[in-house]
Amino acid sequence: MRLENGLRARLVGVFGLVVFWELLALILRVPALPGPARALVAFLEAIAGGLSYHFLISAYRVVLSIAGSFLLAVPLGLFLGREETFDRFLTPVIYLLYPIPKIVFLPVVMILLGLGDIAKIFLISLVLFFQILITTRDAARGINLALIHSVVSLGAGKWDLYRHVIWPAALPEILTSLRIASGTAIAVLFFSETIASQEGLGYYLLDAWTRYAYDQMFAGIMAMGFLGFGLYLALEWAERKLCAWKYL
Amino acid sequence: MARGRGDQEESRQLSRDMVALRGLSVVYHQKNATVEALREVTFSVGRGQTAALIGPSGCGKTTLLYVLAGLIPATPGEALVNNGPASAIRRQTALILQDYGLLPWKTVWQNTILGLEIRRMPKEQIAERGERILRELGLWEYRQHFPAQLSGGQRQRVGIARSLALYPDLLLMDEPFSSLDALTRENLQDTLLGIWQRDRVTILLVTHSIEEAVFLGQKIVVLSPRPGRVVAVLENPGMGQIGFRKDPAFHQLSNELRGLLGQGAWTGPGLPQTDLKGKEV
Ligand SMILES: Nc1ncnc2c1ncn2[C@@H]1O[C@H](COP(=O)(O)OP(=O)(O)OP(=O)(O)O)[C@@H](O)[C@H]1O
Ligand SMILES: [Mg+2]
Repeated sequence: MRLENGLRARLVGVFGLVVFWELLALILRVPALPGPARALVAFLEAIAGGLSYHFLISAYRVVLSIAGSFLLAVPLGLFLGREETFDRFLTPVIYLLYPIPKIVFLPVVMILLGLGDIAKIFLISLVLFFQILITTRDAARGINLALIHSVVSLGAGKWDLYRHVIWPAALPEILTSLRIASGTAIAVLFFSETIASQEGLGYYLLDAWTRYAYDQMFAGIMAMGFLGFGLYLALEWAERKLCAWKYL
Repeated sequence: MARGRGDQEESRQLSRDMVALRGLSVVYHQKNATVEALREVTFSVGRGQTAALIGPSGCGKTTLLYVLAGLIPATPGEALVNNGPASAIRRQTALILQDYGLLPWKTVWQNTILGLEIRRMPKEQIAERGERILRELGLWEYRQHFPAQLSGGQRQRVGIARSLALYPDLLLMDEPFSSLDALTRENLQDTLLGIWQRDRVTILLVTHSIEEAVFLGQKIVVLSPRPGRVVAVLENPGMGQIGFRKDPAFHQLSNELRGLLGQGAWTGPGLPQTDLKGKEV
């Protein structure tokens, strides 16, 4: 019942977006903004052509980047949130590095790691790492002390605390940070794929753009939108599965 | 000389006290202030006895339980549990807190067996013991529920179930029933009394309620406003009798206690733990 309602709300939302797009295209009447119908036709054609390949490449890079940054940032974030001594040393470093636009390191990264997937995945992970790290750390830090006391009194050691209290308590916020990170990931992905690249949605888009193939470009834009939406749905599904207690 | 020491050790071993506090003082150190929570508190609770701890809000009752649970060091002074220094490692000590004891992300079942799981008990044994205790406390039907789906009384039952699952010999309870309505509270008080009469586990119970102190405490320890000192220790031999709530002795002792507490001006439910929330020790 609730799920059906959610689905309906989503469809209505998407429908509104399509109407808005159509109106805008009708008013502007420029080749650079084809209407949704034309874009959809182009999208379906492109899927049959090379687009699905580029889509899969991009999806692979983004998913791997999110997974990689998650695996590195979450344990470190939980640890820093609970261990003040280490936190005091590392936090200044983190906040020094956090605001630097990591994209400027792309040339260096490419020299070190080559032009392939690894360089792109590394760059995206680097950006996501800090976002996830900071959210996780704050979530772990804010855990109620009485909750911890009560579990310690059951005989819990450090590891038990991480497993039974700190990780599950921080998980909702971690998943939220992942959702935000997935948007960032696609933006960084786009950028990294437009430089010295032969594959991926970023390349596909830029290529269409330089050829003034606007319909194709919009097919690429839609593919990117679907990639983001797919990630969002997956993360939402994970949150409902893993944090069932939040949705009672 | 050697003999003297031997005698001393022997007398310690023979001590029948489950809980013994001698000159316990606790001072919290904050960045630019110190808070003296307890001052030279001395009292004891015999093995298999119950004691109620009552005193004004902020006088250090929760602190005292934390010391006995080994979560805060007992310096200066001495806090003995079963003749050994209080320690978080001691497995037979169970601590039940007012509000935050249950993990919201675990079901009733998972919360109940948490302590057993932490102690790496074999799976079949956990299943068997968990089921028995949940049935005993009337929670078996609710085992798949999350704490947020339970009433306050049921939640407190889960807290008790989780502690009892460990077969404790010392139960430390911090205002366990204070957020419950009167009926549910009396119901749970009866449950606790039943458990005590059967298992004879030692209970130290912090409460704001004079009636609860008299109903559940064989010994009633009254603390002064902060820094908490022992004002009086009342013996309550009638505790546990059938129909004690209606007994004249019950009311007499309640009134005596009310007098000691100064017309009860500061009794009533305390602020639920706001002191501890968010503060880092
Ligand atoms: N972690 C802490 N750091 C500093 N001061 C604290 C800390 N915990 C408690 N205190 C202070 O110590 C005193 C005793 O606190 P405690 O929680 O033991 O009181 P209590 O008797 O349990 O109060 P209540 O009846 O309201 O629960 C209070 O004045 C409180 O502000
Ligand atoms: Mg308290």
